[in-house]
Amino acid sequence: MIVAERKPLAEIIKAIEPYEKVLVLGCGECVTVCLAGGDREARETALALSIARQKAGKPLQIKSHTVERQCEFEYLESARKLVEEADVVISLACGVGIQTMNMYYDEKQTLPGVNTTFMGMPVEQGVWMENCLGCGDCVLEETMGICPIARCAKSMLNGPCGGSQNGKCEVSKEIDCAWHLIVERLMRFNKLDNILKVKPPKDWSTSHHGGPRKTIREDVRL
Amino acid sequence: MSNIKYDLSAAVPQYAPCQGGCPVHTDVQEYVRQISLGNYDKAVEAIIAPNPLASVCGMICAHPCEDACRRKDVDEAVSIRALKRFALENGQWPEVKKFAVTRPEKIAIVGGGPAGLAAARDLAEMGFAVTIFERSPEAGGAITNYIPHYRLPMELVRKDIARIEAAGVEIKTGVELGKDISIDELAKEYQAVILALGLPTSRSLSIPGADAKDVMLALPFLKAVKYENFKFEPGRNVLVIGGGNVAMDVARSAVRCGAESVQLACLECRQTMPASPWEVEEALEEGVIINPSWGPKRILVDEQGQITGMELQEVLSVFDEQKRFNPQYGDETKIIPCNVVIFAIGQTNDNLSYLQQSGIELTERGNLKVNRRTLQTTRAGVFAAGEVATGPGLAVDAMASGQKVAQAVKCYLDGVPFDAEFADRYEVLDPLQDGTIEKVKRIDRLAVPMLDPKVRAQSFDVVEIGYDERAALCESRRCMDCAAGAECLDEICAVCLTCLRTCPYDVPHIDENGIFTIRNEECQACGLCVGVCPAHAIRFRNYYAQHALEQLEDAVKQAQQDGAATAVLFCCSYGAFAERTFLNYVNNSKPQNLAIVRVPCVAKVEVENILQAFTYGAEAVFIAGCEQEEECTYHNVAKWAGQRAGRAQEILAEIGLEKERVEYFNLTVEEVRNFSTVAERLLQKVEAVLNGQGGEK
Repeated sequence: MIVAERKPLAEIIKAIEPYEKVLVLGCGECVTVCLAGGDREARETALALSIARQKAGKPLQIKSHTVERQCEFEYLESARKLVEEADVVISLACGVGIQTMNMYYDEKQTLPGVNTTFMGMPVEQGVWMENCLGCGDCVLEETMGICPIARCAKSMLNGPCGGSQNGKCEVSKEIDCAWHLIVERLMRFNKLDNILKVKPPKDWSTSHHGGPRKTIREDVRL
Repeated sequence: MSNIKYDLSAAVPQYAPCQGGCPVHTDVQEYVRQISLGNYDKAVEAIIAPNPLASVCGMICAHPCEDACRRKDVDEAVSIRALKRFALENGQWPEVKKFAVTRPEKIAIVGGGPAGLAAARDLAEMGFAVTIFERSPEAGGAITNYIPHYRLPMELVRKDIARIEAAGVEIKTGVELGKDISIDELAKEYQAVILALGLPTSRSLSIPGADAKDVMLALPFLKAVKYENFKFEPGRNVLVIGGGNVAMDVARSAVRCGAESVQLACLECRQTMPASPWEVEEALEEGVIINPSWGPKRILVDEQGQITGMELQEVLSVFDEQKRFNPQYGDETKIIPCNVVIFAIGQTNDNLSYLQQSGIELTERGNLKVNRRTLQTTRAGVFAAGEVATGPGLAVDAMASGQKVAQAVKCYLDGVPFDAEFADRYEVLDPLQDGTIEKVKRIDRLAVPMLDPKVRAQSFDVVEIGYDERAALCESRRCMDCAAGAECLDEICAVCLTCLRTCPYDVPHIDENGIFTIRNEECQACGLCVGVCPAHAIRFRNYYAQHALEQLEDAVKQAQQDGAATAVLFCCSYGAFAERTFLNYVNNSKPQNLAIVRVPCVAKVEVENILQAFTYGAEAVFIAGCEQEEECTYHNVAKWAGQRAGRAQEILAEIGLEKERVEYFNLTVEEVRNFSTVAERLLQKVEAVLNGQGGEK
């Protein structure tokens, strides 16, 4: 899923300063699951903003609402009345949802209420870890299901680098060295020889470096 | 209002096992919950709604609800009957509303026992004019005539019956069917007649010596004890024959009537005696000697006609393989010396042959012929209810039978077909699954305090002291709120699994097909999942928790009335927080500017609720849990309540407010009871924060 985290409230307070009527719009998908922008977060954010403006002597008319999925035009229609009533919308969806809102309601500004951080998964309750960069050319079959593109700070294809110490990355002791994990898993599967195959430089054109990507399925087009 | 209704178009209700087990389907969960919250008045309402003899049941009901209670699979059933008694003694009873007569038909009920009384109240509520004809000087049937004072004080019976009369039921006492009135006479004036005659005749045994002078029968003995101040002459050694609850009443009454010794013999072994286990225990405590697995052979009588003893024979088995009564005896015999024998071996009809001349047929054994579907006798419009129709049972069974017959009578008078098979439709939750049972906290059932056995054997004083408030509040918390807790709103659930990881009981579940569900029937209603669900997709099936939190806005507004800075206190609503001491403090002497919101467990207070308080104008929010771990049924309350408070503090800090404006803490029972000291500290803290001594932002 896409993981995000709510922006610091001070930043949002600043962004809505010129406005009196604000809608906080949550999304019922990824940001709900990663506890950043679902209905609960939308309500809490709206309450926090309301308290802040009350204390600042500039009361705010603020509402919150959550749509099923902000990255689909069709789902956005259910929020029309609330969007039209508001001076501005704070979206707690990922960057995709925020943009979809701005496209669908292009007369109204929708501002980000979250920072979209990565694609990842919960390794435990309350802890999410990045594990896919969306590079467009998956190498997981060669790396024992551990992605060196997303989980190695250098996205190395032939690792580990000299900064790997005791299984941790030189960037932070909190980060596991992806290549250390790959080597351990290769050993478990008796495939350590694989590491001797030198991989050629990665073609990053399938990634964002090739410009914004688009996927088309002709068979379902209308 | 009775919960037994004949309505084929209504949805079949699903009951918690306790409610299903109660023959009149009292909403046990509701009244136990209200007790646990300190709302004794509301508990009374729930108790008396379907049960016209609630006070009686509070004292003597054999509580089939407890037999059904799911907690018995965890440790022991909730002590429901004793809680009922506590509520009825401590709650305010609502005034009786007299039912208006809205129907032209009149109904006669013969017999003022539990069945007749229950049928009468329901029919009166339906708008019929109802008259009960009772042959005794006082209504109540067996509970009035025979149940000893030490188990059931008569003022309670009278209180219940007075309420039935106040609701509009006319009771004519001293009128006997077959003697003072006949069915034909009744049929002229009344459009339906219910025979609720009970089983008022004690059975005897035709064994040698059974006609001796000092052989007595259970019911006349109990009546003489209750109403004629019966006392044994000195030197009486009593042997009671029988192993049921009536036998226990007889034996224990005999102890109190001056018997030198009281023994009891019964066919059944100790484990299979039909008497309730606690009745047997109490009899033993009072000095009754029980001889199980011994059957009566003959009564030994001397030349003067005095009983000298009884010969008993060893019993090998009581029932045969088809579970029919078919006692098998061994060779061994023994003689128990005694000079009084009391038979307590069951009850039967009076001689009902006089009914035959009114077109009411009897079976070969002399019982009423009752149509099992219409509940009518062989004479149209004449119904039968209670033990005379169903055989022996509990008072509450007889009431349920009366309520069912009331439905039958209404259908009959409305010209609508009635089938008793569908008169009491309900479904009951399955037992808890083993995985859940393992995870539910064990909490010992609190024994109901009783008088010392030596003291109680000396008089007919009520033997059960009953729970005090503290005990009732603790015991009521043992209720597991079966299926009243979390349910998932599938249409907004994001299937994020946060609840699955949070629930201490593994109620959210992914099945073998990979489908996620919240197994509501396993839920223990702790509410942790509700507070973590990011989609607000989990709610409680019962509204009580949400209702508590909805009090917040009004509480803050009231607290703001004198203009001082307002603080909100969310506190637990159980344990010491449910005691009268604390409730009186909240209602009468708390500081005006402290809004107190009692929540059924502070782990149900969400970050949102804390922030809401600030938007309503509060300057600080405090959350008070309790240090009563051993009586709290929930897991991890302090952890979750503390984490939520912490999250709210972080949010406040982000918007430039002091973290000190939110605090979570636990209180001891004594601190709760002396809450004014705590309140003083909290308000001083608010003042300090507002004076810029708040510290960390």
